[in-house]
Amino acid sequence: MTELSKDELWQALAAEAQSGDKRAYATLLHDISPFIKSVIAGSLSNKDWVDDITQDVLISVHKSLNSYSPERPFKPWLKAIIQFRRTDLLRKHYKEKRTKESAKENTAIFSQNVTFQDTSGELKDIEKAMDTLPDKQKIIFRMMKIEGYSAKEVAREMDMSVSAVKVAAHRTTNKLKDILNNE
Amino acid sequence: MNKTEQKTDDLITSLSDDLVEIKIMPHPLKRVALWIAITLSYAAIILTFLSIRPDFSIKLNDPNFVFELIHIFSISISAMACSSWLCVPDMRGQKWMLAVPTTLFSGFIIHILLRSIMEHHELPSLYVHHCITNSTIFGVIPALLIITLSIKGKTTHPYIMSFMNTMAVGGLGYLGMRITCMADDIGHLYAYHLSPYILFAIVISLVGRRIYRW
Repeated sequence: MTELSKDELWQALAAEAQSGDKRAYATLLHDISPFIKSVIAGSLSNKDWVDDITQDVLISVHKSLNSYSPERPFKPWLKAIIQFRRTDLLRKHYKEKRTKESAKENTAIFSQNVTFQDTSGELKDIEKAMDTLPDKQKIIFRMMKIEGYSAKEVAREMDMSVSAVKVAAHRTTNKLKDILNNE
Repeated sequence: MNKTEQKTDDLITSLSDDLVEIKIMPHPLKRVALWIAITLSYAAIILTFLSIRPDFSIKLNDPNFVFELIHIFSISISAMACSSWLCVPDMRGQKWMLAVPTTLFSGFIIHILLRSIMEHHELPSLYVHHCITNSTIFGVIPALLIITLSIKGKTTHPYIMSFMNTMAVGGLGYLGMRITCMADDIGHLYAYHLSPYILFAIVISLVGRRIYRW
């Protein structure tokens, strides 16, 4: 089936769905699911996200079916919804990232980023050493070195200049090295 | 079939079961026509209450003034049209429309900036001047109407929608004030005619994503 005829088929199914045909609607949703997945998978690598967004898009299609005009092609309308939901999920993800717990509390980050997980005592020592630091330095170090924020992002969050953040992070790293070497 | 595919299938079954006959959203042009009809009638009523500026007929001989009125009216109408088309996820393929009010608005901003530089007027002190109240009165019903129409739509661009809403309402209110208030001083226009709409723009840009969520 060519792309054009697929679009025409969806257009016809959507029109039937708008008149209340449940079977046409189910066929349409089944038919568009792989298309939604393929569009999202092209730009997102996380498989869970692909499935989440696909389901979100299907719900959005359901909610906004009244805004679809049967005289217009279906695909651009669907693509606009896919794009919107993908942006929505990414925005939500990055917003959550800002308030995420430290690497020690997050087992996923811990397992991905700590090479020798059996030696978690080292991480504990770092946490202990960090407790001796002033709050501001602690926050900067945590954000940059543990949570992976850029100096620019930290500077914005802390209301400091980028260079001041870099200097603070460097000094904190050296200070922590000294503390850990002396232990 | 894996767990996620099963979940998607269950979701499709549940959505299909929920389906009822759908009333298709009217064409965006019809929605614009409704907004224009109601807001212009409302503006006409307000104009009769506030009365047209006494020098209006003289001012109509000033090409700058006439150009300003046409310019503002065009911003308002084109922004309303965009708000209406934005209610459809893909804007029915008419994304180019957004360029019209945006360009006109940029022209308006350049115009008032040039005026403020050339006329060297200072901002008057801010207080609840009667022009602020009148300006708010001009905008309140069009604002409520446009927000209601936009909420009923399914926008995929909530921030652009907020911007278009502000231009549609602000343009109409500013136009009304230019017809009723005799003050042409740029400081007065900034402080008392535009300030309610600047506030509206701030509020709606902050809450836009939330209220236009669907």
